Amino acid sequence: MLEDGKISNKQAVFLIINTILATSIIFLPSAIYKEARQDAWISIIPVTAFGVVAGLIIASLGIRFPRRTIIQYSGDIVGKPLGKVIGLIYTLFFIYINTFIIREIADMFNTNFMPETPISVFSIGIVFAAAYAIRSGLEVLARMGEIISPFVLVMLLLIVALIYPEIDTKLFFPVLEKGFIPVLKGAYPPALFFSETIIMVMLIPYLNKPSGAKASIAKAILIIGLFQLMIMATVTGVLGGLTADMNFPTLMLARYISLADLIERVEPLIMLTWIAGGFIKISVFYYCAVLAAAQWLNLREYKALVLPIGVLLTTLSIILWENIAQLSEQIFKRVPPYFLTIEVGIPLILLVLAILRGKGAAQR
Amino acid sequence: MIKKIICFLLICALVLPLEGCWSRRELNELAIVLAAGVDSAPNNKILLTVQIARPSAFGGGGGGQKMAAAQENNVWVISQTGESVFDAQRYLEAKVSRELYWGHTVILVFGEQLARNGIRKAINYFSRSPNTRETIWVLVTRGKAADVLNSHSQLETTSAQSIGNMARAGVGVPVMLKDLSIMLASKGTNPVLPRIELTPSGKPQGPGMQENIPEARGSQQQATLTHAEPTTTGTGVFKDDRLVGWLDMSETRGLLWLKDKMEKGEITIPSPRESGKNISINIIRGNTSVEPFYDGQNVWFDVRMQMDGALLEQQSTEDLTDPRIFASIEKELNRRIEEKARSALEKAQLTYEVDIFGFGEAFHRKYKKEWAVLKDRWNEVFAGADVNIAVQARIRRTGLTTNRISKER
Amino acid sequence: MVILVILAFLGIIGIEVPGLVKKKMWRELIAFSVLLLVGMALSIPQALGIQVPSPNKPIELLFKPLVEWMRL
Repeated sequence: MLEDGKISNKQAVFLIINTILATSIIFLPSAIYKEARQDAWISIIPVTAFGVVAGLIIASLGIRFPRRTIIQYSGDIVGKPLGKVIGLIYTLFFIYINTFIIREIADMFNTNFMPETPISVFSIGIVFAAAYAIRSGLEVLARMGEIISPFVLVMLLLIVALIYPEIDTKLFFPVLEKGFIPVLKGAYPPALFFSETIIMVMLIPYLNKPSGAKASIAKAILIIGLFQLMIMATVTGVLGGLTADMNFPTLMLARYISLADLIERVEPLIMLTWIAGGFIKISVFYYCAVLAAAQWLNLREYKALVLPIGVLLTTLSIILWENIAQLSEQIFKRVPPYFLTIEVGIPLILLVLAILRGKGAAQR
Repeated sequence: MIKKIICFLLICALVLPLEGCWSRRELNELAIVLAAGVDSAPNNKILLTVQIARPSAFGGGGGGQKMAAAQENNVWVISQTGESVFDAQRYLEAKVSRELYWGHTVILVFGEQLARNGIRKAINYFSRSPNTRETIWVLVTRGKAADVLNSHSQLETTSAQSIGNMARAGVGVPVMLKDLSIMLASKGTNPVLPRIELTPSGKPQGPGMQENIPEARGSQQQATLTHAEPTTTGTGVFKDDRLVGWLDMSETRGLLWLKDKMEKGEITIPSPRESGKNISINIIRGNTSVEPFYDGQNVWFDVRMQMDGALLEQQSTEDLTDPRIFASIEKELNRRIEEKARSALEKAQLTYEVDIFGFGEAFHRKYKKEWAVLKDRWNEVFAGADVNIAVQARIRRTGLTTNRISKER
Repeated sequence: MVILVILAFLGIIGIEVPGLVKKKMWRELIAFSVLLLVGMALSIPQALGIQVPSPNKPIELLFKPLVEWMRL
């Protein structure tokens, strides 16, 4: 085995929460609001349901092949050559999606907090730290998630609690102004984020109770949905029509907080949340990429690949996009169909084929 | 051995970032901008005025040496023209030895001329730059913003803080940058901004503190011994981003009622029994609900207002233990509140023909389909709409006494 | 800038290669080298200030046949 570590199901729940929430609370509110306007919060409901279904597909697939990852078992289902192709797709996907994430976090810092600092400083810094975490193994990563995630969630609750007096409920009306279509359109951009449970195709084998994977994933997605709903509603209630034009509406929330002239300028809190959450997210995808690459190449050890892939991640995150407009255009308009195919389509097809061909352990 | 050398090199490399980072900000390298003013300048340029805190004048140390009210001016006010706000700011840095820092800016004032030409072009920098805050209070002045900034307060350390405190206390119709952005983004309402002006207010309380009075400055005459304090004198009414007119303080009260922003304040009514005597009521809470109606042709609104108040001053001698007198005072109160609301409403509907009350938003919430048709000519629709106002005022308390103590029997 | 990047690469090689050679992990070494070479090829021109064409276009081309195959 490349990875000897075991993580508990609770740790997996925290990892998933952190992985999805870290960037979704930054970038989703304005993207959803653009489509669904004041009904944006309703959009979270269908997308959460979608996320649960996607998660269950991934979990069912993983449970059929105990102690093996998708890189290893896809060959069993569709035959060796095609299995290799699928393995390569996932390896490249984990690298490619991570370049988006690194760039998002770095851009966020660059725009809001340190405009004069070159963006490469953030990329290199965060990837370097993540590389160190990954070389220490999956267990370390999971424990880190266990520490950081509750902190992130508490911070979000705190921000919402502090901004609560500013919410204007009138901004939620009229409900369903143009019917359900905009609401469903609004559910499209977050679908990408809510199916990031795809990381579990690499992690289920290392759960200490793989049979509980379904429950863990469903639990994680429901918690994420709840928080996303809360943030979306708060953003809508405070910013109203401005949400659509904001780059970082959640940060705006923190900037608006002004209680009794005493508690204000709390955005470093949210910055802390994002750097912590973003770091876990980047580490998780980084880990998946390294592990997938090592398994795909049948290596005995994955550590040798950590730094070279880190270099690739850093460099690509800098050179792929020239500016934030290109980045968000690509993430919300161009890549969703491709990513959704990889995140949900391929696992679904593999699952159906596995059932039809009777591959893998049948469900107990 | 190699490992040790690498480790040593890495440790050495760690020293490099310790000196700081690119975007560091040291307090002694910043010029803290307390107030910003934007005026229009010839050739489509803008004139940016900033009020910068002078750290030496602020020094908290020195024990009791420093007087409560300022003996010297605590701020430095300078102006600069530029193609844009950011452009002007860049030019300013040729004069200011430190980097302008916008994180603590309290107020943003627009000059009248600029406001009449449209504030959108001046506001963008303040909402886009990550350094400024959305909690800045935005105001408009009659005349030039530069004059308002070039002032000091008798009570607060700077005039910017004085204006900011007034806005926070809810004088006039306080508007934050974010509220302004929301109003500008909406088709169902038009922005309003509080009007700030310098008005003669008592004698200057220190040497060298007479520079405030614009008339004195303009005509080169000897400064008079009157201090001019920044004062909230009403409200600027905008049509989209262009200033179209003013409301005075009384009409501003009506505006607050109709916007459901009435939180505290005072209403004075004539005594129902004795002419020439007045009764003043302190508003404890006010509440307004607006319901729009549409029959396919006409739009009308039912406005219901509720008020709880406490009677705090009585010049007349009615028996306030008599419920009938109470009722007649409340009736007078209803009439007076409606009158104030009507005066603001008439100005908005007849004189300026803009919806500044957010009635369009209320309409949008109730008639979502019809709104799509009406929204582009909403101001016209609003100007022609009937508004029914029903007020229900209640006096809950009469202060510490029931009847007037010194009765003229 | 370039010197820093090259130093970083040398550092990475210094950390990983001796261990791999000692443990005779040739496969790993090959994978390591290939990936690192790609990384160098992308990052050194960037550090030199040469505009590297964004690899986005080829990546999208790579995705396209897959998606079309999926839709069949």
